[in-house]
Amino acid sequence: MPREPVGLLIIRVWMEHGSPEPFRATIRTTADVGSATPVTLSVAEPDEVVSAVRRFIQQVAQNS
Amino acid sequence: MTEAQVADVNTPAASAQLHRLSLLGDFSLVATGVERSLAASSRRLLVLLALIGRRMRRSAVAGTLWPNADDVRAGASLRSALLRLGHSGGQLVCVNGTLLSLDPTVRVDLREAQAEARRLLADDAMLSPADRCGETCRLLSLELLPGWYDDWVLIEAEAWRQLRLHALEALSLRLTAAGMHAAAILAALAAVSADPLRESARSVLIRCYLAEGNRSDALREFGRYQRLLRGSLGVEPSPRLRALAGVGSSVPAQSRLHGEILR
Repeated sequence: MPREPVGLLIIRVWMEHGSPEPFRATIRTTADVGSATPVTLSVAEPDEVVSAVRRFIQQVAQNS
Repeated sequence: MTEAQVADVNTPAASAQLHRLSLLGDFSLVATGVERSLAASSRRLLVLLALIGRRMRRSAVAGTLWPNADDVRAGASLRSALLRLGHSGGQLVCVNGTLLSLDPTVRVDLREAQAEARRLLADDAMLSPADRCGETCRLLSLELLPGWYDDWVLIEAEAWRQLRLHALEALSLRLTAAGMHAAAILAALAAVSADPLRESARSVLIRCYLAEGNRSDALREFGRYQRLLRGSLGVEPSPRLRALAGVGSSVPAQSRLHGEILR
């Protein structure tokens, strides 16, 4: 039976207190946990997190 | 199944002490003194019970390990995993009616490492011989089951990551206070390596350099962090870190080193 690809996205969010721009996030995406290499992106804007999630979902949808 | 004899066991009491489950860095199991190679399903069952750390209903275990299977198939897979574990030597899982748990004779490295981390985070923590010789730092540098993507592993992995980062920073500060600068720097570097963007880890490392009188190293480290933040996030280090490193608000760290290449 062929294996279904499984995409994974992990968002880690924290605040660097003391910084004037304290928001931090790292986004780790893997198109298929069985074969693809994870890609990590770091951002300092909440909107960039939303954009990264959107891109990931679109990628998974296109590949399925 | 390949098995490597790692110890002689002559008594049941001695063998009971030799069940050791390692989850940090990679999975391994030593049961009754022998390193075991397990089927994937049995491995996942042991890991789940070790991470949960309490009794679980069979149905919950089966549903967690085989979320895409129906109840009958998941239950059959669980029975198969238990049966295979039973052939692995020693009692590793307690079965009590509908409840499953890890046998109390199985030592789990994660639990021991968590205890070490919490000890370091206590206000009255004293440095142990393991702290001084680097063994604690080595333990705290290990990720929990890298490459495992199950939800129930990822959550535990992140909790362990947070705990060990705080503990590495605390270890470094305590070693610095004891004048053990080399060991302190290694602990701080381990924290930085685990999360390069984390400012508190950089702060601890810079404190180490300053404590041993190496201001140039402190400035160089600030410069590295500054470039990383600028490159990956487009932001600057906090004024607090800048002040710690002795970097003026308008002067780039690079220029303070008179043209020295910052890497």
